[in-house]
Amino acid sequence: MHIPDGYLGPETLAAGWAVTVPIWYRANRRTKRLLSQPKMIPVLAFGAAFSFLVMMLNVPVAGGTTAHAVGAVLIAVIAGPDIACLAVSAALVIQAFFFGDGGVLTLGINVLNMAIVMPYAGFTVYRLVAGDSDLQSSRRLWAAGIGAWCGLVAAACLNSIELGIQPLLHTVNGIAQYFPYGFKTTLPAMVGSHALVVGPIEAAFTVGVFAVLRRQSPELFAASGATQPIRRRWIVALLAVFIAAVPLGLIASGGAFAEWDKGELRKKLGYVPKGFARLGGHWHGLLPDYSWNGASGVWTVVSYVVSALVGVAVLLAIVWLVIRLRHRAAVHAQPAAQAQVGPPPVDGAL
Amino acid sequence: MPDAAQASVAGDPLRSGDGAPAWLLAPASDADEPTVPARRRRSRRLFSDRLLGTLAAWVERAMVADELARRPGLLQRLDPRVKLVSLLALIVVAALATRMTVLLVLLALAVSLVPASRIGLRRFAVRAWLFIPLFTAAIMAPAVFNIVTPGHSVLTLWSHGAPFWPLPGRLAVTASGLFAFSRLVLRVTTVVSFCVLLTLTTPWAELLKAMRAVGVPRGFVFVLVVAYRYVFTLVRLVQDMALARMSRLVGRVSSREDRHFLGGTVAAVFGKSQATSEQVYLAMISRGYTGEARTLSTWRLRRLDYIWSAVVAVGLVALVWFELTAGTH
Repeated sequence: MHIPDGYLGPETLAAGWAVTVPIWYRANRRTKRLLSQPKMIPVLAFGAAFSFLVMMLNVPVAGGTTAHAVGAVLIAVIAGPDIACLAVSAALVIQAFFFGDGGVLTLGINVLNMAIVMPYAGFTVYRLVAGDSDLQSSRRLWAAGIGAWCGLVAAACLNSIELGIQPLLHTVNGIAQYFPYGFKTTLPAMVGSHALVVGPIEAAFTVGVFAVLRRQSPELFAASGATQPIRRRWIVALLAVFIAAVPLGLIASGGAFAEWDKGELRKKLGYVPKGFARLGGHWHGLLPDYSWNGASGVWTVVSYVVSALVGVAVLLAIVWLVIRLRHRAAVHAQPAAQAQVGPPPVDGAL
Repeated sequence: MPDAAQASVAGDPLRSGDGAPAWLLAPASDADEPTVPARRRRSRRLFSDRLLGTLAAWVERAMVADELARRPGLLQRLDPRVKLVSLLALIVVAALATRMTVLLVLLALAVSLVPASRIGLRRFAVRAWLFIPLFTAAIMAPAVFNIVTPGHSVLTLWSHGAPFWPLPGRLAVTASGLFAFSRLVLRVTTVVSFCVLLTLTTPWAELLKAMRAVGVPRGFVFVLVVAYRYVFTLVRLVQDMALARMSRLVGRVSSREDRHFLGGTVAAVFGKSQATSEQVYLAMISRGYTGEARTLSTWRLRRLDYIWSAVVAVGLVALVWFELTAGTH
């Protein structure tokens, strides 16, 4: 996932650095609060050395081949995402300068993908799934694995967007000046391969090491544990970003595969299959096609966003209802359970 | 007393020429060679074996780079800060350039610096061009065809319908495709060449100290220095563990067991790195470290540095001016 120099145009590179440097400062400040100033250097240095070593090791995959993991989420689970960000950044700097693995100018983008998005997203998912479960429970293991997978896929997604946007930004006279393949190629290739192949490897690696560490040194996890719940405003902010990004779906041309209506079928085949004419196309819903009748121009965008809001509101209502019903059922069940837990039976032979 | 000892060699295994028994000094005969088990498949090396190989190759690479950085070549004699800034400027221009002329000039400069810095061209080519540029050429290969880059066809492979389904009806190599392909590969090659030149001609510790000149915060540079030093310690630890495992293995091992071993090894390395970082921290404190990183810098700018900076500055200004103002591509 390390992007070499020459693939990305100047705007992308500048944007990468503009996002990365402030986050470095923020991670540095937050780490200073956790560790004393003199202790920061050795801890970060060893975190970086460890991360570098992890990226050098090959994980054996079935069939005798190997792949290599990043380990950013592993460090985040152990020491928190801020330390993970700085440690993996340092390892990436060493890799870029010493190995030429990943370019020097693209360091900002590579750090953004692997040292910022990956540990923070992965750690958030880990905390969401783990909740307040016990450190030794299997739920924590699942949380670590799923968090690692999600972090890696998020990084791969961002990576494919950065690459795929190059032909849109930098094509002169029909010739691509930097990376030539657009979203159609990069998104399936990168996200697909990372979700199906590299992601499970990263998850397996993280789970494996986490399992051993929590058994042997549980005191390591006392500091960064899932004690602080995710602040609600972050989730709301994330949801708002997704809803705002919904109109991007309108850019995609053409309809989705196998979601055609009568008119599109007639155009494709020249006729409408009898079964479809009889059974299909009768129910249109309240907001047909995520818009309302007569929407055109800017109103299609507005109707799309409104549909998103309506959908989210309905989902939230259903979830809230389910939680209330479960809560009520639990309250009803409790008095009966308490009656059964009476004084323990006294042993006759005292 | 060699003479007296020599006289009693024959027949006495405990008192021979240099203190070693005679059978040990006798040359090995073919009958003593261990036979290689006939059933071993060479393609399926032990995981520990491969791990050792990877780590050993890495350490060797680090040492080779260190040795090359001490040769009396052109780049090695430059002040590290001047070298870093000038090579970074060259990389920036190369990474953003879109004209073939500019890229060719820069690549020619990079290649000419290789013998000037007493680095073998073959070793440089293997290290710089065999990985990323080759990989780039491979993934860029489809871009030469008309399906990615439409344009005037240079070589038509077929044009009357596809031989079988997934292939397009018409497949041809286009001029614009070739141009885009060669430009990106050329750009990547040039940038990687400068990067490799930088790392092969500068000892790593000096390169890190030179980063201060580019504005990298002192604390971060310090982290990198300590990290680099202790990567070797951790590598040694993993090597020891892999060797210990390899010397105790009999028979086949499944991938699953290998993964367990790796998980355990990494966990042990983490524990060790934690413990060592504590000790390093205490050692630093006990020697007066208060959190401020200080480095000793004895670099002075010399005449060669000034000449080099002037040449590179003038050249880059000319190239950038050409890039921005000359006519159409």
